[in-house]
Amino acid sequence: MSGILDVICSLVISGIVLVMIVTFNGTIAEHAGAQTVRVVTQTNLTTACDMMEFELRKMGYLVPLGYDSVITYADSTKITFKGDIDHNGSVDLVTYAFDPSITSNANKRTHLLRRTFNGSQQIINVGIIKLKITYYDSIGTQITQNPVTSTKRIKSLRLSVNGESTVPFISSDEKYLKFSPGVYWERTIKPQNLN
Amino acid sequence: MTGRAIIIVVVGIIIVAGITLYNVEAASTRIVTNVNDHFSKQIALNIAESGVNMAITQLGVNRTWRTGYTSLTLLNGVASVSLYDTTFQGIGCVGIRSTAMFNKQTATSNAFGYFPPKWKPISVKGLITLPASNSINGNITLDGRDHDIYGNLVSNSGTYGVWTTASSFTVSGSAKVGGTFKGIDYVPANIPYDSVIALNQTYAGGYPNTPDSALGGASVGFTEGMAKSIAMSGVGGSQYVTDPSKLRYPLSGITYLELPSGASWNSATFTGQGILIVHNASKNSHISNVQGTFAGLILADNIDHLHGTVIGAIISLGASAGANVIGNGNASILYSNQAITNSTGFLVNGNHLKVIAWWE
Repeated sequence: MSGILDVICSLVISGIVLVMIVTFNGTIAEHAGAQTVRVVTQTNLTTACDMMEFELRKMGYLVPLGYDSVITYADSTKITFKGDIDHNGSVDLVTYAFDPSITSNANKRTHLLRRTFNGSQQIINVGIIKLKITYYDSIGTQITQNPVTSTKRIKSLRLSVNGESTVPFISSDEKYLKFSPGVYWERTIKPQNLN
Repeated sequence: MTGRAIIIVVVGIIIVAGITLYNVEAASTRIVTNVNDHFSKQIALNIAESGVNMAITQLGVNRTWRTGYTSLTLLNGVASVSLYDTTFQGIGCVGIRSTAMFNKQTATSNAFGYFPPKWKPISVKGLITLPASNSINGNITLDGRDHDIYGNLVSNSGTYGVWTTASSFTVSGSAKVGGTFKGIDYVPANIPYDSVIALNQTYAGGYPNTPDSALGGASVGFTEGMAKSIAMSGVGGSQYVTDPSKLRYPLSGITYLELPSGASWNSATFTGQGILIVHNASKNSHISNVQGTFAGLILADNIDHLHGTVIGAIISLGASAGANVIGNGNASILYSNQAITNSTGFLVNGNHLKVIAWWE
């Protein structure tokens, strides 16, 4: 009789231990998934932002004096500028525009960034949920006008980008914060050729 | 058998958990590495830009400097800067390439710049520009032919020996006047060629009677008081004094003497270079019996009894310029485009490189 009791008790205890281990494993797996999504989201965003920064820094390069302005359009979510971006001796026209329309991404909060290079459009789908461009004049005063009508005043700009993964992922410890693991990137850029 | 199975399951779960934890840590490491690399890249770019700016500053001191920097430690990173002569958009330029490394991240910044052309004030109409009659005697030589800053002749690129709004300029004693007219040099002579002394001239817009108007006026940035302000700033060795005894030699930059009404800087020593201004609000100060060697531009209300050597040009600002003879002793006054443009060089964008494009 006591032998049967021992077996039952050991089965119960081992069952509890097993459940604990499985739960622990599940938590770790969830975190692993979240981390992986975070890495992908962060890498996507930094790659896109690196590309934007690379081109924004070159605005005005080889643009002859006499142009009305190197920046032809500027508002809080779109900028169009000139510069020999590809270093081939001819001035290019580049536009970066945040498209707020709904995408086919599983995470419906994410939107597209549209890059237009000499009329040829490319879609950048890296899970951007918000993009804001802030403009400053020569003494660092923010230009609050939107869109900026006198783009010649612009001497520097701040780029702020929020990103999430394009696939929905609700992390148990972030459900009140973000639908998916999020990344924020901000950079103030002073293009050297913006005279 | 049951216990063995449980052990196998538990060990299996622990192995799976271990691998998963390892992956979590690896992902965390990649996130941190990504941020770190991004930050390091930005710092590297800042270091590279600092390298370019240091080279620009050095070029302000020495335009021919092309040595660059090798493994220069900056902001806990390392920058290497090289300079080379090149052509950029048809302009002869100095190229500066700065490559920086910070925390294994590298960045390169390139700048192309040129030195702006030197500038000669339009008020320089001749070796000596006057608003009144005057005369010379003794052994003074006025040579309007062009010279380098050492006084060596540069053929056929000079100007009048004398340019005046008045109807007369008298040459007597053993004095000589020469110059260049329509690209032809005329050797200084006691009986000078008529063409090297320009009489009855008209200065378009009115004769400049202040240093700032003589330097080009507001249209080129010389609003009234600008020259005095530059002199007071001390830039390029500039000086502003009301007492000539306080001058430091050799003169350089803008040397501005503001004397009391009617006062004269007598037995003046003007050894040095740059722009020498002797002026007051009444336009009746004098520079008299000067001696030494000066290379550059002299702007003075009235000039009496030049001695010594001047290489450059002289402009008289005062209406009473004919009150005394400009020269009556042993003096050699040589026109020099090089000395003039050297003297004004630091007024135009300083001595610094004008950067026209960056690539980074």
